[in-house]
Amino acid sequence: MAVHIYGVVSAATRLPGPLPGRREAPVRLVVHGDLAAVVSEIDADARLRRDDLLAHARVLESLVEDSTVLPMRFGVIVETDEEVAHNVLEAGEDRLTALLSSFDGLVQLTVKAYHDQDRALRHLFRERPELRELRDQAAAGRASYHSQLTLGEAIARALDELASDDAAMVYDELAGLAEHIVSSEVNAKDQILDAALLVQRGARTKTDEGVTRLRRTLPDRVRLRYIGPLPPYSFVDGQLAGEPVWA
Amino acid sequence: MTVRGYAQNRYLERPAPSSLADVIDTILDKGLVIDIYVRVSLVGIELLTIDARIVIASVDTYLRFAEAVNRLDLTETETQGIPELMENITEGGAKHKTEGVIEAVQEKVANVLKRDEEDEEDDYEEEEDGSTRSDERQPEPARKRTSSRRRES
Repeated sequence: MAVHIYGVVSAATRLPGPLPGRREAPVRLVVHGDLAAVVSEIDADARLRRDDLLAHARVLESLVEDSTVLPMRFGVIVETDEEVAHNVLEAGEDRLTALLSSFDGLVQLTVKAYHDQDRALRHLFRERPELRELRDQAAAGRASYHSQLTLGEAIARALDELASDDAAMVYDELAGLAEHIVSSEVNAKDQILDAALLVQRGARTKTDEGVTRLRRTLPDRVRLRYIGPLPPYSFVDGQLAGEPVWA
Repeated sequence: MTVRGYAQNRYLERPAPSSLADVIDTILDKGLVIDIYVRVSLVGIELLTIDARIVIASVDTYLRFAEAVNRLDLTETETQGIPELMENITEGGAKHKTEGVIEAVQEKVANVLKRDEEDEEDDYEEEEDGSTRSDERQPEPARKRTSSRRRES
């Protein structure tokens, strides 16, 4: 057996009751000094299933309700508890301690914005006469391959521009609701924004209110998803030696 | 049409837990890494996320857009004021046409992820060669899932 590491917390952290991890193995803490790694046993050669991914996320999400958590990227596995204590916690002690204190009391809330494509298209055809013209040309009996292509290309470009504009508008509104905000590349269909907000746990209601208000005022072609609370995935920079990306 | 009713009901929105897709977005490429200890074979997963991020802007997608617009009844969009009235009626008709390529990629990912429900031997990679202790690999005994979260994506 090996040890899967979910994240790092302060040694004073209490687990919120029995917590099942990957393959339902009980989650426990490995303590070294003031730091503790959140771990569970795993067969090192276990094939990955989507349950494994979800378990990693769920364990961290349950902890972050009450505790400051530094999330590990999925897949950090070491052989033994001793290795966790010495090669992870002890070796990274200064860095981890500094990170824990810089994220003290902070949680991540994620907002993803999407376009309703039909509504976005209708908006474009309302606002842009040149698109209507192209469409009429494409429809006017001479619906050649070329005119179809020109139309499609113009629409794709216009949709992209609208997506950037709408994303910028949402981002600006969200920025006012968070201590820090970062956006990542979007990768789902019709998604226009993936923004991570770093928020004081105690100020979450204010963010909830802000998102609620924002949703009411957005044009109906923009749809929001509001996710969290999460550990600050998007703010701890990859390598343990790195600076937090917002510092 | 009254999907987004104004302030009649002043509910306060709370954030929701992440879905499988959100999880893939976050835990696979965000978070701390202790590089020398990343031992798990993430090869398959990395490919999977790369697949999901391919955005295809090709002649083919342009044509799909054109086709979508031709099918979409846009007459109402030119008379300002009543578009909302028509939206529910035309919604859906054109939508499917434009979804093609990217959706196919996402389906592929979903299918890969779904295999663990369908196959006894639920893994991401059929063959995960040499990179990680393949010498010690033993066939994993078939396991039944016990989780109740069967369909989250």
